[in-house]
Amino acid sequence: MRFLVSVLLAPLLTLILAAPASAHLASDSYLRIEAGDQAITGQWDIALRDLDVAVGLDANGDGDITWGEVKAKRREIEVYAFSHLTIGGGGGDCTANPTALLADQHADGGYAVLRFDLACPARPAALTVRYRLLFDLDPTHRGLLTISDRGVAHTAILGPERTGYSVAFGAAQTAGFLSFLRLGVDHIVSGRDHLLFLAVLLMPALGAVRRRGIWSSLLEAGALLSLFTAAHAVTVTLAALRVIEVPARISEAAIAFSIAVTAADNIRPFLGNRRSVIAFGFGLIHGLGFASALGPLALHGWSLIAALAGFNLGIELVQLTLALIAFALAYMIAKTKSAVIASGAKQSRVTSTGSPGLLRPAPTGPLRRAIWGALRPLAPRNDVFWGRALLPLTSLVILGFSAYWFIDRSFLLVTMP
Amino acid sequence: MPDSLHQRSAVIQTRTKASAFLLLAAVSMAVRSVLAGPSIPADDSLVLQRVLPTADPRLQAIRQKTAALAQHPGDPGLSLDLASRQLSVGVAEADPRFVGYAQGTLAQWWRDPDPPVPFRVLRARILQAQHDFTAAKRDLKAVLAIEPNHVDAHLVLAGVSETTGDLTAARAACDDLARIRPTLAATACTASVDSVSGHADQAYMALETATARAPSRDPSLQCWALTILAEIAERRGDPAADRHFKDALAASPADIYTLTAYADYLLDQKRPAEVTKLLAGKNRIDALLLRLALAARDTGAAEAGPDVEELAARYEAARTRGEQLHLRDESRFELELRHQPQRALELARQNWEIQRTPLDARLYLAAALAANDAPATRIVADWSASTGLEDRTLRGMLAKAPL
Repeated sequence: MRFLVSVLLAPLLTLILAAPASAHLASDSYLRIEAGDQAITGQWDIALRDLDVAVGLDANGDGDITWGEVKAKRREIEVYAFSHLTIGGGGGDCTANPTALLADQHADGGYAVLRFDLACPARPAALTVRYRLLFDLDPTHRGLLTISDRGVAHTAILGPERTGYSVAFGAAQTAGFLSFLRLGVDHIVSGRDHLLFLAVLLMPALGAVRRRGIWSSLLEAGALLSLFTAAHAVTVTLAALRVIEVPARISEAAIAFSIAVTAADNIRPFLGNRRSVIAFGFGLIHGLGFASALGPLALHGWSLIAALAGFNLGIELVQLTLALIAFALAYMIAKTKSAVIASGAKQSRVTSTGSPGLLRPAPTGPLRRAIWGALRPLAPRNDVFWGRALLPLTSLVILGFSAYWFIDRSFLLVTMP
Repeated sequence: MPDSLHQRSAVIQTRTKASAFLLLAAVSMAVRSVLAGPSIPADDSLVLQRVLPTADPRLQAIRQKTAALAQHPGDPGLSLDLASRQLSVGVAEADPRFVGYAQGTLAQWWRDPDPPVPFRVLRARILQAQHDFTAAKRDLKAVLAIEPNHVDAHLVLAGVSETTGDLTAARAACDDLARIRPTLAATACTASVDSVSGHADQAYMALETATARAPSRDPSLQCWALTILAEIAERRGDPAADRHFKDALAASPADIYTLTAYADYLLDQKRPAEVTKLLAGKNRIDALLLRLALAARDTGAAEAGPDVEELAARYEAARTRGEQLHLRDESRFELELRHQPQRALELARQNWEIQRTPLDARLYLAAALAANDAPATRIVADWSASTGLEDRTLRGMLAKAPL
């Protein structure tokens, strides 16, 4: 394990410590306007290179634009920017009141981030944006506009040929809960990482189904799953609120790592009774991987709550269903042994010991006998077979797979989809 | 010491290590997220962006002309001078922003259906830099209808025509150029077209003689001619290509086109370490960053990772604004670094609609072969046969293609 940690840790750190370089791309600004139930706010990211040409930022002319130099020109930046932007509501033009100046890095370098509140004469039924930034200096400049109306995003690319864009605000946000419930279901069914982690997490409990009984095992599994869901509900929410943003490659590497660790624990236990803590901890990590599903939607208010509830409930629903199926199968297989032994004389007695409603392990008809016959080789002869052979072997395969996946993402070999 | 106790302490130790790792990972992610999102930097001296220093003579001239133009708004002479300087920086630095500034300076002539000749030639050069080859050709032909002996118009027209695969028009423009002013530029122009239309040996000899006997005093022109020579040699499989590339860079060490071409040559020659050295510190230019990432992959250096991420972000940003300057490089990126042949083929196909040089053909073919796309393979094979292109790399690829 120590070896595993040190080998796998190194590439992750180099990824994290890599600093951004600035590229030569054409000029863009990113203008986001979010209309909530109460207020309309905005954020405008403008490239420092462009602001340098427009208002002059590099005060000492050394070729380095520092945060201090940007801050010193805050007033000029805001006056320049907002004099090239008009936002009209229904009853007249709104006024943009700058609230904060921040800095950010995009693909082509440093950006000034202007946050503002929009004060309109009346609660507007529509917003009209007129954008004129930089077109006089650089006609190839583009304004990438996103207007979010309570969770529904409208986007436009503004240029000298098309300076205006209008959005009529809809009524209440209807599409919400159900569509996100479905999104949650889709996400888990199509995501191999999530299913794989659940498999390694639940495997020991599956093996103990015969010894401990199906209800007790199922209860434990259900608790583990709910902890897991609760944890990634937390990170998915944080990501949707943009409190944390983790690049997909890093979260994927972390997910692969968490699968590898759990699989390793199945082979040679070192986590002890802390699997519930691990389920929660790794749930946090896995939630980061789901962030991309909700991240770009820029939701807020009730629509965000509905979306998150739906999404997480969808995930939990699929998880529990799958666990139920897996446990039922495991129980059936575990019972096969006794069923097969008993099938000679006392079929009827075995039938009565089966769990009501879930399964009936007595092979009475020819079809059932055939099914039981097919399942028989799979039946663990005893818990030792499961614990010593099947569980470690399957876990080893998953460990290998996830370790490779981790290395793939950490070194960005990207040989895996 | 009893075994069980020993084991227990080992378990605790490992547990501590595991939680330490998780904590470390969480902290690192937090740091990364602080850098990634908008924030208020704590340190005033934090450098957020590098720009050309004020002392750069090109920038000083641009600033001076901009100030003069502000005094005399719309002055044709000043506008032309300023726009041409802005375009030069844009091309030299591979920086679309400066090309955009040049367009902005020409604003009052930009939409003009019939601007005066000097403005129309400059407009064509800006359009060429923006890969709007159709509009560029239209302007150049209009100029040549008025001034049939316009040297620059012929030269740019030859370049645009060759890039788009119209070799007949390119050859005609070179012939006119040779007739009007038979200098190294005309020889290089003719050699470049001839070398891709079945006369590579002749073209090579003519251009080698010209660059050696009558070198241009203009370093950028000499560099351009030598780069064409190197590319002809490379396609013929002649190791002299290496020498010609080096000579070209000796004439103009920062020429981005030549750096890119030489880096590609070195990558093909399995000499990635030299690429890393050649392009060190030039990663802000997308084309060169791609070569650095390919070299890092080939040398087995782990640093390729951040480059791939960075390139993906840049292509994404370009795509968001609907730009098509990167198609060929992006296709190669998808093919060689992302291993997405279908995506690479789609980009190569779009690129093929815009430009058709041997390099475009090689990439289109490589993507078609990787994606097992027989129709696309056939398109390149037919094109290669119809032009009489002599390109050993392409021939080799076609020989192995299942046709």
